Amino acid sequence: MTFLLLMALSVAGVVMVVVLRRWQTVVVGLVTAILVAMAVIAGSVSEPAYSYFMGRLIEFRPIYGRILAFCYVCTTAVTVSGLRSYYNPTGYASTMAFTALITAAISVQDGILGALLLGAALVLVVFVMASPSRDDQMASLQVLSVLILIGPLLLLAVWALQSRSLNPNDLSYLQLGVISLILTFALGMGAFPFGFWFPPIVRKGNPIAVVLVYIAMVALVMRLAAILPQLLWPQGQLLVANLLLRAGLITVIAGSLLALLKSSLDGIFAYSVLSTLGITMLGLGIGTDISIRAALLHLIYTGIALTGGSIGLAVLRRYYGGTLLTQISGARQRFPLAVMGLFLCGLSLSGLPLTAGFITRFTIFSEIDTAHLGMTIAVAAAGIGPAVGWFRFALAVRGSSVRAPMNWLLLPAVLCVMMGGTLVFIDTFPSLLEALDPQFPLMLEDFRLLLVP
Amino acid sequence: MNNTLIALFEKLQSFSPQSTAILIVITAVILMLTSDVRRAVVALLVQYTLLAILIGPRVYGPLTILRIGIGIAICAILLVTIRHARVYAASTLAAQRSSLAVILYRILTLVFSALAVYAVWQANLLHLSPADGLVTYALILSGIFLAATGNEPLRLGIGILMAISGFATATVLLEQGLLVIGLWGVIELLSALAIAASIESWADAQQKASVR
Repeated sequence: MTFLLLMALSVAGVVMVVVLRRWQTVVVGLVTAILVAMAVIAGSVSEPAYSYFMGRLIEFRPIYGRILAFCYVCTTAVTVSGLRSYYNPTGYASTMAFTALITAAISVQDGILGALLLGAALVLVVFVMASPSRDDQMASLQVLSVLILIGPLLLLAVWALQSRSLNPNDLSYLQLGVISLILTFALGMGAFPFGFWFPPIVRKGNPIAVVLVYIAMVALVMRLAAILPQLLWPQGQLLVANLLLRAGLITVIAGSLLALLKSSLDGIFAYSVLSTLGITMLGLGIGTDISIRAALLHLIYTGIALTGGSIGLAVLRRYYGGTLLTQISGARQRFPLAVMGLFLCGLSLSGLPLTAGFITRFTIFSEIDTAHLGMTIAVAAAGIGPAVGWFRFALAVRGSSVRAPMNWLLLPAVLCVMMGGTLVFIDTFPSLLEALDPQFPLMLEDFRLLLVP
Repeated sequence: MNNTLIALFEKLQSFSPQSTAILIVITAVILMLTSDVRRAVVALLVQYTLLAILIGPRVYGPLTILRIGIGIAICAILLVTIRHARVYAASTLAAQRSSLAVILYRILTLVFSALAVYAVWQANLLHLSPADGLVTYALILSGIFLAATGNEPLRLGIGILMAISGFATATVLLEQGLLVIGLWGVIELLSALAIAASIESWADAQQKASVR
């Protein structure tokens, strides 16, 4: 019932946005209201619910509900941030359609259908990216060419592993399944080809496109959790875990180095996020109970930082026409809230204390086998790159600005600092999450059981 | 007119899967080599029709018509977009397309993709029949090569559409649920629309740049 309600709301949202497309303020208000309603509905699920839709089993677990609710909240934030500025109605209609497809992709039990739904959702991201005219369109098509592969590759992995369970002696299915699964995950998390598609979206895409891509990554992790334990044999799980570990390690270190070298805020931000996604892969690859739970939490914190950071980045990009560190002098005086929000998000992405992301990083590092001390040191040291980048940002925004203000950028700036504040708040009062939602630890355990039964 | 179409359709259906597969591969080769955008769209339409004829009757009869309909819709979207995007008539782009270096580059891309298709076809990891395997691998790999080496949105977009067609063909041959087939149709149409939107914006940006 919850699933059908969420789907009905998303579809109604698409129709209403198309009908009312001429009134941008109404469209933003409508999309915000629908997303908030969906977040409340999805977040209030306390028991697993099973139903059938077009002959396929739908399983709506509380963990799916909480994660979807979080994704809806992030989408709401970026939608509200665009009230007076960035997006056209095509982007909003695509966002609602994307929400419907992702909800279905996470909830449906059939692996092949889930992969196809995820693939369709990723195509919609291109519509959102293509909305503002200043975007680099070749880049968005190149991104599409990579994104379009994720759904079919996941589908291939599911099909091969299902076929393998019917023909246990045929190793070719196994090879195909494992290769496809690894390629899907590496492509989907931006680890391979390194820096090809994810950083351009973060740097050039609008905040909605950035958040939608992040949500697709979360859906991919959820689908991985649905595939892995059922279809792979124990050594296969180990192989996938090892490859995840290595991909995570490379992503963390390379992302960190590039964040250190970039001379623009969008570059520092994009590679800090990529490096942080590597930590999530590392946590999943280590594969212990604690590291898997920490990895999921880390992915959620990354979502908060990514949402807040992309909103703040859009504010500065809009005002200064670019985000080179030499261009944004005086931003601290002109946009103190956006700068503060960005800085807090950056600290969280760097894994510095007092921001969410520090504890989860620390937990994941402590779970790395003691035999791999060198790896632990390398990964921990990799946090320095983004941290230096963010301190360079803090130095670059000093000075005074003589340009005329744009007061309508105040709303996104407030949203940005709220996201940054949330990251500090979570780290300062970690038990508050449990107090707000007593079922939350159980849900993390539920996710862990999905991945390693 | 109708009788001619029906006769043509029957004639095409009488082709063996092997002949149809070879014709599909020929359309893929044309798409990789041609510089003329309209010719490319026509070749794409022929490819969609042949694919529908290859897989439709083996899965579910009326699917042939549905697949041809999707192909026509996609090609119509691309043709309308090309007409809007006047930059495709610009002399500079035309000159760039026909230069010797570009032709050699395309031939090299074709050779590499042919080698890749042959290697994957020999391995046949999907356990498809030789004709189905040839079509599937040729479409996926040449599509990916075309998308990876495309220097303008239409070429890149056609590569993406070819790769999707290849994946859709494989899925439809392996998992014949109507919901899955329908979803592939939706993905193909959405992709065509996304490509069209990107081409229009790219053309706008090109025109603005040339005015400056």
